[in-house]
Amino acid sequence: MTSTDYSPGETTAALLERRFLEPELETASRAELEALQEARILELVPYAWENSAFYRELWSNAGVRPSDIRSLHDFTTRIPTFEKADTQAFRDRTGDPFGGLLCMRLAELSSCTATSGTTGDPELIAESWDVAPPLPMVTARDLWELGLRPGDRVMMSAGSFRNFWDEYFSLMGLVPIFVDSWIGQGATVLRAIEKYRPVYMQLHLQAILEFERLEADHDLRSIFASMKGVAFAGQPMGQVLARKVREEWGLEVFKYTSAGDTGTAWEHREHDGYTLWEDTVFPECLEPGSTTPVRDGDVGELVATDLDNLAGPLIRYRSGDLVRLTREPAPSGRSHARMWVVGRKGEETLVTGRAIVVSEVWTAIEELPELSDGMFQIIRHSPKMDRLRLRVGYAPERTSDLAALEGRLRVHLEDRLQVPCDPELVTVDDLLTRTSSVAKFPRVVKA
Amino acid sequence: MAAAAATLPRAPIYGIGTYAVDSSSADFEIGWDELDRDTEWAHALLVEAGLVKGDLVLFSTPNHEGPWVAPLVRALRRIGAPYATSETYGWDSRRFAMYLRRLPVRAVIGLGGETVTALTDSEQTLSTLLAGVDLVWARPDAVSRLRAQQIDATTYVPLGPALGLGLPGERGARVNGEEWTVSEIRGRIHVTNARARATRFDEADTGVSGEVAQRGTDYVVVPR
Repeated sequence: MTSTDYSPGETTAALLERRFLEPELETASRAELEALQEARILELVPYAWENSAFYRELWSNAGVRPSDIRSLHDFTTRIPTFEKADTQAFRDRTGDPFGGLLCMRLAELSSCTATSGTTGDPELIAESWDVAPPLPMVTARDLWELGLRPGDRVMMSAGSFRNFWDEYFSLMGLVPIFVDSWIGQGATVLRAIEKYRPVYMQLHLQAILEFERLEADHDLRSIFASMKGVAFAGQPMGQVLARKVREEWGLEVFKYTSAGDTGTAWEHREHDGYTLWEDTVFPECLEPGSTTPVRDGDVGELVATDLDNLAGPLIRYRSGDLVRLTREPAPSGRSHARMWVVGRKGEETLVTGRAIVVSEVWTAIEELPELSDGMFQIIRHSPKMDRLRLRVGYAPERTSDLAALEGRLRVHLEDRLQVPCDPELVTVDDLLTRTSSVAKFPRVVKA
Repeated sequence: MAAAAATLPRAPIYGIGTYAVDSSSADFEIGWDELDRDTEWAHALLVEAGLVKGDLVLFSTPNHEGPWVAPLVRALRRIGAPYATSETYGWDSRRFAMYLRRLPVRAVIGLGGETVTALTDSEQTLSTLLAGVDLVWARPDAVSRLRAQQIDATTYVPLGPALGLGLPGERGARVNGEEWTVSEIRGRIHVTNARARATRFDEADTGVSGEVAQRGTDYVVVPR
């Protein structure tokens, strides 16, 4: 395996035809991947011990020293896991803004970003890089897989909170079109796509709903015909919307998700799981609440270790994401782990003793035509509730009798979920104004 | 991955920018040569403003402002000053405030009206949050509101395809006079490129109202 995988005689044309950006790394054998991971982890552990106050304390308390870690097996059996609350507690106790994770001086960083902050105050993420910020950079193989090639035009992503994307696009030979694509700019975005024929854009739920409203006056299938693919993240897309985007608008959607907060994991052309690049992250799938690994393909909590982050690496970080994970090679020939997201730990809402999960509420709601956008929020006022409270977004143009719809919805939900339900109908627009992030639409909110 | 990406053919241009003029949108291409020159100018201005290696700079700018922000980011990278990012929208003011509360931010670039409004109503006042910040580059819709709260702010303003960036203690924003000729026509700022750029501008309306004066080799624009 080499870091670039390019043979000296390879022509540019042949390179651009290739499906894989880095074939040798992407199809490395399991033994090669584990050797690479072990080598990096054996460097990472003493580095983190030396430079991170948090890890020194956490590992000392567990009776572990770097010299105890001489293999991947030692690492997975002796180094303790931790979760976000642990670094938050360290921060509260010591005043260290990075929760003790920072491994270099602040002045030595390239940049600093923060998590979306959907469930609380955003958490700082330290970044050190040479040519492009790490979060965009780790998508290079994924956007290559999507079909992007040098010279292609791409729509600039809306949100900057996880850093700027221009240096990365430049490095990939892509030409970004800098158009404001935030809520309310749907018509402007469509005009830019018609004029410049970009091959890629990042969609968010709000943009999809806006395009849907512009459908009557715009031939979206024709406008989107230049797109090789679109990216979508932040929340699952409901089945009805997904069908519209794919079948009516002709867009191939490549979903992506968080790789346990170490980066992102993307779907590839087979749309069969999210790929975790194992030369950048060491993923484990453990039973929630324990350090016992689950069997390949069984549901467990994603526990992630950064292999390419010297600024503030996460080491055996419990992400709270419940996933199925397999290390079986993908049909494409890629050998890196893939995962399927099942939900979030603690996402269940207990109503009259029954655990209600987001996906079953979603399925029930989008079965009603007026609510097919699948826009809703579960309002949780205590860990255990007697009734399921919901705020549900309806499409005014498809709704004639609001009271009747609310009545039908209540009966439908109670029939499907078998718990008492109190749905409150608001317009989809109203619901969207309550979002606090370009990246995520929270499905469970506090009362 | 960076090594693999670095071997790919380079993009023909840096990108395609857009800006609003009244209710319409104007587009322009940005070439590599002018991006380098814009970075040189931004570097000189940021150094003159007092930024040095190790200073932390907080941006409040969206990704689509790349044509104006990229020269600043590249200049900061050259200085060795790390930066943090936040959105311009009012709902993201919590992130903006979080950086100011937790980190020793030396400068802010792009602070806008929405964030000022959101934080004016917050528990911690803006003047408290910005107390340790030496340099505040704010958008025209925020400058006077900040000054009303006794916060010294200078101007950051995209002027059509050109960047306007003030110096501390100076009213208005400087525009690179070697790159642009700036004029006021019926109260609106217009720009003409003085050196070759990927897109030619001949008294292009920037959509920004204001006054112009010449200062040294640069122009100073005071938006209204």
